[in-house]
Amino acid sequence: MFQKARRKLILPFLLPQTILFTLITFVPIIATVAYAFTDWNGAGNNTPHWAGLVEFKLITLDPQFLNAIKNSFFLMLVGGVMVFVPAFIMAWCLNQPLRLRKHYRFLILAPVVLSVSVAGLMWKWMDNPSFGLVGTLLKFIGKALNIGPLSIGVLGDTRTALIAIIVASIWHGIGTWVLLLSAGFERIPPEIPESARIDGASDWQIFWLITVPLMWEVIRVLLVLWVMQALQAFSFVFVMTGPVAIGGPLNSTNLMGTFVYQMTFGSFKWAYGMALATTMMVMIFLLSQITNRALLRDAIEF
Amino acid sequence: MATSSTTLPAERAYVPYQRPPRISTKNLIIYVVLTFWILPTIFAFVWVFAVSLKTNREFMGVPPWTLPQIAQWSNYVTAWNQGVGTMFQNSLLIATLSTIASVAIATLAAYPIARIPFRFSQALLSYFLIGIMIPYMLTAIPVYFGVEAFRQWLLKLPIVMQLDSRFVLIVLYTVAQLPFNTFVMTGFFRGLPTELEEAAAVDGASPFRAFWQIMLPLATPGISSLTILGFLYGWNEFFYALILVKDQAQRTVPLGLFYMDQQAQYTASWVGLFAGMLIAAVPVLIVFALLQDQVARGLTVGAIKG
Repeated sequence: MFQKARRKLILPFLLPQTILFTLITFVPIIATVAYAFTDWNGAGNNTPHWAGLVEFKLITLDPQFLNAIKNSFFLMLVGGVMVFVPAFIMAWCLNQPLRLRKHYRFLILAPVVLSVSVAGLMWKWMDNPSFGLVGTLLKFIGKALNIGPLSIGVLGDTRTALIAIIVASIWHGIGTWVLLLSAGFERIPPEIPESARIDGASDWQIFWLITVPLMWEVIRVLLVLWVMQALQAFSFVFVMTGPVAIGGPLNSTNLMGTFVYQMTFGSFKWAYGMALATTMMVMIFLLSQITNRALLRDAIEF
Repeated sequence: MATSSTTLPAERAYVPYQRPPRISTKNLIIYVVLTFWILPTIFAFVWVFAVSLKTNREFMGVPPWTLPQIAQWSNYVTAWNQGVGTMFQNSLLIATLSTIASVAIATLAAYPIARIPFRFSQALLSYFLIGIMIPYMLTAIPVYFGVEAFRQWLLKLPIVMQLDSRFVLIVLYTVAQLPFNTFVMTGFFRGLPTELEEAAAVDGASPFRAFWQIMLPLATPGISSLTILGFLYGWNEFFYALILVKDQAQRTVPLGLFYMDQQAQYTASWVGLFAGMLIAAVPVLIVFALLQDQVARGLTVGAIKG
């Protein structure tokens, strides 16, 4: 009886979500993939025609996209190390019984709640070689040690701009990873390291031989998340270099995300933009799967 | 392994208060590492605060590490009146309404998927979860053209209607969060004991009342985590606002600050930008300071499967 009456809830409860999701997420996905096979653009070709793989062929010949892929991979790999090593250390530190633990945690996490544009602009101005706190310091060091790029500002030099943007985005985002890793640490039952300690293991041994293996599942999931997120990066480059010279100087910070934006909303190459977005999706999917498989170890039950 | 998202408050393990040990070498190293990491954050905030109280002349002429000679509190008033106030109200409105709508719609959808057996329930959940996997660039271009077409269509109506970009953003932020919210709420509802609704039915409650008065209150921890997360998303979102907001008066805080930075190059008014940045940052920082544990739980909800 009750079960039967309950079934009446299914349709009204599911309807709003199904309609909204289908119209505003699912249909656009299909549309993007479909229009990627046309010649639609804002300069003349306003009625789309079937063009097959033409746009995808253009992508393989586009040195700019190759450059964007290179920069995105740089961000994924170098940024990954720069996020996970400190985040792991920080999460471990925050799981020790400390005085002022909450205060430290607050300050490590605080940037997470800021908007990307606040964080991006803060760093853009901090890095300014004339007015910024970090920029003037770097300029001083650059002059003293005769390092060229530092004295003209890290965001103005092709060799340092991407690193400066990665630093800003890590300052902003690391809190989430610290939190997620620290949730992982909390899952480890305290008896396990405790009994190792009784058996005479040192802190160092406990960390490498017990904590890290027990954390492996968590690390794997987070690295897959990182790959997906890093390859979609857009906002920090846009805020810190745009809108006139997005990805500048000289495309040295142009990422896949900013390149898609430029082609679509800057150059009105709509079909090309959609083909790029589709390519991006496939790459993100493949790379996250590869990462997932490559990091797979036998799960340790605890 | 149960995570915070699927654990009822009553089941949470009791953790006795541990007295922090005295300073040892290990702890000393930990303090040094943590302090080293947070120093840039402290300097960054202090510096932005200091600049926001300077005059433009001071900002240009004096080394950046100096403090303002006379604190120019009027910078805040000027910034607020020159657009930051409007941006602030827009962001507050958009973030609040989209969060409420998204959490409500996703909670409704998650309940039957998790608790009422019907055909295709698993398929439907997988369908919604597509939304978590795909990059936002993939939906952005058709969404942009859809909104433009709608805008044009509204103008052709006998009564001329302007499409409010704030309304567009509310709808988009709502939809953007649906897949994740559904994922979390489905997990949450599945974690609740099966006897609950049956007991309610025995007592004569209608199915809707069983949901409304029994299941929903039990789902509060999940709902509150998603509310915090949703508000942060709405308050901070940049990309959709960038491509969809046309009218200057309808800009959100992240978008408006971005344009303020662009204009500062021409108007030579930098201190207003810094005051604006703090006006945008301080409310969320205060909320975070007050609700630190809830925000922390919100940020980790659903990320690590139990």
